[in-house]
Amino acid sequence: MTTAAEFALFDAIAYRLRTRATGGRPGAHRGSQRGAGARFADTAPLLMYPDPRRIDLRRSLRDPFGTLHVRRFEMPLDVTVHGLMDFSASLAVTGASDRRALAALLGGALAHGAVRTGDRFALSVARGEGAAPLLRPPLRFAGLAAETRSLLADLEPAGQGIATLVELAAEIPIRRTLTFLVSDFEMPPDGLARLLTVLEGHALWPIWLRDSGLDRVSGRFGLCDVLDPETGAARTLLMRPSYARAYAQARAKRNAEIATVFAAFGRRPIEVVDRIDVESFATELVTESA
Amino acid sequence: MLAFDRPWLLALLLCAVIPFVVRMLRSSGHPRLETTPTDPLSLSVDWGLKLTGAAAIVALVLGLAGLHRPGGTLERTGQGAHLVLLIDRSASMDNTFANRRPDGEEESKAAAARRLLLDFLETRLQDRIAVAAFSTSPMLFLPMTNRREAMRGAVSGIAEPGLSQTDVGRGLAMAFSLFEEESGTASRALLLVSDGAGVIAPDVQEFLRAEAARKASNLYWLYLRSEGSKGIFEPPAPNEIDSPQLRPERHLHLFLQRLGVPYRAFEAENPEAVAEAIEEIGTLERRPLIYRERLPRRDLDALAYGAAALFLAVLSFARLIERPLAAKVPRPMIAGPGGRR
Repeated sequence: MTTAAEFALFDAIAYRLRTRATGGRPGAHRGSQRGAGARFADTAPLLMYPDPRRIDLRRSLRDPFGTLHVRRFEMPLDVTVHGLMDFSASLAVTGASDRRALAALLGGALAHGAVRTGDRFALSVARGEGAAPLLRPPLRFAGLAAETRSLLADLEPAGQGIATLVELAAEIPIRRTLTFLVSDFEMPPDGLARLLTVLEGHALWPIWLRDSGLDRVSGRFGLCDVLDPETGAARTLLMRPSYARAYAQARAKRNAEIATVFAAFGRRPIEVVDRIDVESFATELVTESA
Repeated sequence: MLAFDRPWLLALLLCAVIPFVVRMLRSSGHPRLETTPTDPLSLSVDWGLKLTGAAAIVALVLGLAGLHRPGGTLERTGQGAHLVLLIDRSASMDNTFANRRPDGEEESKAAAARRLLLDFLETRLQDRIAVAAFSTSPMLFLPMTNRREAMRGAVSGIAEPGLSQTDVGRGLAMAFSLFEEESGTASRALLLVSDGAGVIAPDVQEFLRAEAARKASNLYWLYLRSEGSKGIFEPPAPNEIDSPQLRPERHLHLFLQRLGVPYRAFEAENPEAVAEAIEEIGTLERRPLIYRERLPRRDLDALAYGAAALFLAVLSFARLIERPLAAKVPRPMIAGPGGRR
């Protein structure tokens, strides 16, 4: 069931692209193609652009050779929004939040935003090695958001590693696409660097799902048995305040390493810590172009 | 050294690998375990728990399989002898040395013999002793043993009211048979306590001679002489008929002398003389003795179960203090308008 807060999130999704694409179908994004748009682009000689309805008298009179000029307008284009989701087994680990449900909710929100903007939404969900990925072509229809969300909610995170994610990222076309990379980024820094290398030149918004409950744990004395669902490795930790401090430091160091890799690629991920703050999420999306 | 009642159950020892395969505590997930700092203490606790689990399973299986130390025999050396006490249980033993019914002042010959023999037992801690008695027919009281309680019980029994006759020949035959075939370096001694004797049939005499030669035992006769009866060393008066029927004690003495084994007779007319005789026998029969002690079987399954209980208590404690890594707090996925970040 979709709550009012989720509707608010769905409606708040809006995005811009930095690059001007060409070709494609009329849409909502700025393109480099000239045509029937509302945004003025430039002027051109009438002979080059024979549209006598848009003759620019001022420009024509200023021309010393008396050439007739017409105004040209940008034709808005559509893009294909790609939701590239990392559904490796680590996503199922819950601390203070259910990141799997968050990923599904975000998928639905992005699909809704795309449909509302007039773009098509494609989905590539990578699971780890040994588990089949989920792929959907670019689609646009009214119920896409709800369908995408339920599809993702039913998909079991499984498998290990980011090889599939890198493969699927390489499949995404670079022109007229906007990619939302949704992941917990629980991967080695060099793995993330490999992924970002593949996505270099893409319009990309990384969304980093973080769980504060896993970054900082309580120091209450006890035995914690922890299991890494990706590698299957298990370990018993004798939890105590000193170890909880060391743990938090190690996690903070690891988060800093990930952030460093993003910075090295000139990316700044949108961090979603435990839950989505609609206002700041939407603000981050619109103030910066992907 | 250790044995099992149900050794086939030891196949269950394979289960001891389970703690190394199956996690004992409830696992909580972690997205990337490499990012947790390594902690030697946690590592040792981890391995300690696994080993404890394996040890608990091993202990349980050992208990189920019926671990025990089997009984056996153990060779020991001591000072003493293999001693057979052959005691007369004829009715006359119930009389005093004065040949009267015992009153409050004087004890019966049997009671005196019992008292003195019980004291004797206390000084002979390492002897192996058998007890037999005879009257109309021989009675086996106790086979050769080194159990003190059994000896005391057997000797205590000789003061019970006696029976009528005195068949000393068959009594001696039984006493000789009580010696074990192998006694090692231990000396053998047969102590006959009686207040009379009887005629020994010729075939029994033949048997006794053969048996005495085979068993090579020292022979002591403690003759409790009643008042009025003739001594065993007394030669018969010239006009007296010297026949086994009339002087059975004297003829038994002569027969025993002829048996071919070291033999001594003591004649005691009162309890003090009996004590002296017994003391003398005690000093004579003191030689190194190798004997086998029978060890009882010892069940160790209680020990195994106890150890298992201890290990399981440790594991239960671990379960008691287990906690999830991150406390799960259900929170809405979307922060409300103006909600905290």
